[in-house]
Amino acid sequence: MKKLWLLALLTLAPVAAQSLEFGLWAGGPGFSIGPTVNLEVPAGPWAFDAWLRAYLPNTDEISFGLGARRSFEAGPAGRGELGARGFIGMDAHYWVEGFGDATFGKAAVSLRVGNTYNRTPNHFWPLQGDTIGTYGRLEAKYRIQRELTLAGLLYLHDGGGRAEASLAWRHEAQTYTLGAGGVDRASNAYAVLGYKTPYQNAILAAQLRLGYLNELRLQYADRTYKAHLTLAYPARAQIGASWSSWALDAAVDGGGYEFYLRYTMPLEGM
Amino acid sequence: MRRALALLALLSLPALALSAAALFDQVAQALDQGPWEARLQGRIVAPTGDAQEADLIIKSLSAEQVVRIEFQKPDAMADNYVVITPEKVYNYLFLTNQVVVYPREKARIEGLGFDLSRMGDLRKLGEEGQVVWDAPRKVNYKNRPAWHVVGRAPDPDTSGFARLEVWIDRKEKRPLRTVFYDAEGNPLSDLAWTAFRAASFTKGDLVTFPPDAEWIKK
Repeated sequence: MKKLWLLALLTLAPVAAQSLEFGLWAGGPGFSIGPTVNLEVPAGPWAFDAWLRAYLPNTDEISFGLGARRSFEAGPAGRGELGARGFIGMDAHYWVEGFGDATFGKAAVSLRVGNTYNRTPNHFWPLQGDTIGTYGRLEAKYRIQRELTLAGLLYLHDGGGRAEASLAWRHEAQTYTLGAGGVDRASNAYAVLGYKTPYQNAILAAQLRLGYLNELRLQYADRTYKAHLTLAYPARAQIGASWSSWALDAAVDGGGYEFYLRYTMPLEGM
Repeated sequence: MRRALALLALLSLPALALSAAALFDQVAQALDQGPWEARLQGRIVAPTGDAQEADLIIKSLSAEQVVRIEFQKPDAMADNYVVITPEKVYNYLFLTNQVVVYPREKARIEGLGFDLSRMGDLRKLGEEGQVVWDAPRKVNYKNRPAWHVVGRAPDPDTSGFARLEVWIDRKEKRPLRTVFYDAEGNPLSDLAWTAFRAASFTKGDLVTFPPDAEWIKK
């Protein structure tokens, strides 16, 4: 069965696929590695995905996934996407998620609703969060005027949630962000501070959350490289970089570590 | 004899008159001389049917067939821009910091009610049969000698407009105003070309995007 999936992915790849992603995951506690394959097949406004993730040495945890999404275009100021994806593992675990994004003029909204059983989304696809059970995540942006953008986040999951609102003020090429949020209840509050600026031919951005949530995020992007670093307390760190067709992410916290290296092979025109 | 001469003169008039194709050739030659930048100001109709104030900056590098259209107004489009190259059309959305890339043949930028990626090339619209042009007429546009040309789209569903009118500076051979109409005769866009100037940018200056933007390929 497992071999059949892999064979099917590789056979389908040259037919109409836009990209084929190969990844190598490693994580703990302990040590296991997970070769992963993601095939993306576009068909007009539709795009279909197929995923396969092995788990070594425990091959019972191998998982398969399928996804479909449709994009909508509405001129220079608008676009949207609706889709769903589902994963199933060999030892009775699954993850399903529906998602929708829409941008139209001054407003943008993004909604994700999902459910995982027996494993976190991370298990099925790296860096996808560690919620178990049902969850919903709503993000929205509204441009009050050309220099001011209001952003909001509402994240609800089994056992808790988080809400955040921030205002970004663009002055010439710099953007300053100020906001506030709360975890589970309003008294667990934290402040949000952000700064983004061009530097030579690159963009530098920093975002600080202080209070109940303590987190510093740094981002760098130029035409060739993108990199990000997150440091948080209680102790958690995440670092990532992407260049050309490669991307590398690593995360560590009190529960273990995760490392994911991936290569995306464009297949357009094959 | 006099009558015969008058008849001959009348018959020869169409041959002496400037055709729209020849006029657009002259415009193309004038615009192809080097990089240029112009500001388009006026009104456009949003997909919702509402007319909105429009303010766009167009940057053109004819030698490379690259055009960059930067939106200043309406507010909903401010800071978005579209870059058109012979192979691809790039649509940058400021709010989500995304660049959506389309193959040129698939790109139809519908926000203005018609295909924005082709509006600059009047000559091509005629060559491809999307517009049948009337003969240009001499007029004065804002105290400036100009040509006025009217074109009709045989298939409005395909072209996205039914009729268009263009005013062209007779001396400078560059557009002064373009108006696109729908099948009911309502204007889809009415844009005046202002602040026209020669520029000195390169392809790299036009085909450039924020380095931290997310890329979406279509």
